[in-house]
Amino acid sequence: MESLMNSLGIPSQWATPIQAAMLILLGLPLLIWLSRRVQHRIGELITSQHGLIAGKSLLYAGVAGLGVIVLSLFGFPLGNLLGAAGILGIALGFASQTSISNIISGLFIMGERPFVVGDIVTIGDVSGEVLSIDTLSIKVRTFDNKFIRLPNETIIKSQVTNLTRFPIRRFDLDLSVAYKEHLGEVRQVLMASAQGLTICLREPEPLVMILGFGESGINIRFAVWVLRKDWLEARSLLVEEVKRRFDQAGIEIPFPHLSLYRGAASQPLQVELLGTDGPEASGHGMG
Amino acid sequence: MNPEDESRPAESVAERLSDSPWGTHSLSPGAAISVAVGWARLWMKSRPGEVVIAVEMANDISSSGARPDACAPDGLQWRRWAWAEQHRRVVLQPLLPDRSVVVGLETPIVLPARCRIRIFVKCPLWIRVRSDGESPRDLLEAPSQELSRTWFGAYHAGELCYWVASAADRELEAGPDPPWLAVCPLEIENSAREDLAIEKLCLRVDNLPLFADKGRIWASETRIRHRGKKGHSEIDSNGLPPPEASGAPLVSPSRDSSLRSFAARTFSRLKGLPGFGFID
Repeated sequence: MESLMNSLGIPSQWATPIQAAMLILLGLPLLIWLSRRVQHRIGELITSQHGLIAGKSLLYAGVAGLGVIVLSLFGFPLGNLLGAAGILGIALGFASQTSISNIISGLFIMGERPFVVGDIVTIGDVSGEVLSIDTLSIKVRTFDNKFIRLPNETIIKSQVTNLTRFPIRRFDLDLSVAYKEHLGEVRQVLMASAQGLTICLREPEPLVMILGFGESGINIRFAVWVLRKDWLEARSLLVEEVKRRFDQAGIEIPFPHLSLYRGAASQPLQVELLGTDGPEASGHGMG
Repeated sequence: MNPEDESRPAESVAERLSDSPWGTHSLSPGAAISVAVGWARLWMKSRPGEVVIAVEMANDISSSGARPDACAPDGLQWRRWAWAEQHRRVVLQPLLPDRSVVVGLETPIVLPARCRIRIFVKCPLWIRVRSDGESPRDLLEAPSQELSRTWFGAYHAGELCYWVASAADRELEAGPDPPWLAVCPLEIENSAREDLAIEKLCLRVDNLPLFADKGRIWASETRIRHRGKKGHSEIDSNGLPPPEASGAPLVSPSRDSSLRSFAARTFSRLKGLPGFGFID
């Protein structure tokens, strides 16, 4: 390199800056190109999120390496440099504990993949669509269109529910029927309700569970399976269909009520009507 | 296949099936024609530079066929296709459903080891509406019967299918079938060492072309070879008319002609997926 400089007539004191400049001019574009290639390839092989992390890691490591080489060209002793970097790292580490914790949590989240971009999740008391999974946080769009940033550390510590991981979901409809109703008929009507709606899957088959004796009626859980994208629609349609069929079959859905007895259960309270023409009387009065 | 070639066979199906809704229908300007196929009613009319179509699912089935100068009911959801050229004719082409069909056998069959049977399953058809002219285009597809949907596979992975209940007859009765049904012959071979209890099976209809003969629409025969509980079944179809309709003309090519022979899960557990959400 030095002989090349001499042959080009460049003074020897310029040799190092020119070498450093060439390293930066050639090295940086090469690093950027390489990191993009890696990002694209890993994005194809695994996920775009993994590709992004791999590409950025390569770029940052490459830039750091390039910086070290350039500094060493100018005669900075590498040992001192690494020592200084170590001390700086510790200082920065103490100063940015939360950020580092978030970064490490982010790496765990990306490795574990409890959700991907586009999933509908519930984390703590936040529910919404995952917009992005970044190094420090994930971004969520709630159903009422609010933007929420959740630090990765919080996610690692919280219970995460992914509502869209599996292709099908069960919808449980809890209802009551009056004690007088024949449960076999109720079961038939409920099953017919599910079969009458094409949105409900034939298999896994709908399920009628008799939960027990409630205060006002017999408690039943009617569980049907639907595609995850149909879950919300199925909820409304099924309630509508069950109500319609219960009305048709004369099955009573009881409202909460209380029976009052005086003494023995077989003797109800006596009610005495004091007057039968109250409304009419008041009507006359107004006239 | 050239789109024009695809539209031609539908003409012949109308000739071979009595009172058939299939084939070419002329649209007169302004007035709607109504075509009934199974539960579906198609309302079609032409306007200058446009074809307008609405599909209605009726609550009951009526005789299939076309009715010109029909009075369209209120509340239909019309769709318009606009072109520079005038399309005055449409072709109705029969198709098998756009997803696999899980056939629930009304009475389960036990197929002993090393045995082979042949059964017939009747499957509701889909209706493809195409414009007819110099550059024919597919306008829409609609089912002739609204089928229930079902899940075939595990809770975390599987495929969405249609559900069809079938007697899975070993022999077909004589006489024409309704024009909205296709007969799918299945040859099932149990080459496993244990008996095969068939309560339901997943019929991949993507690769089956349709043929018309003697008042019936036939699908190409599907051969299913079962090798054991855990293995996928080998599924094969030659794309030709079944022996019962030998030489019958093609009325509709398969949706995916690249799949002639493949392996896929066909038989599910006898009890299937329980509604609880876990398998004990």
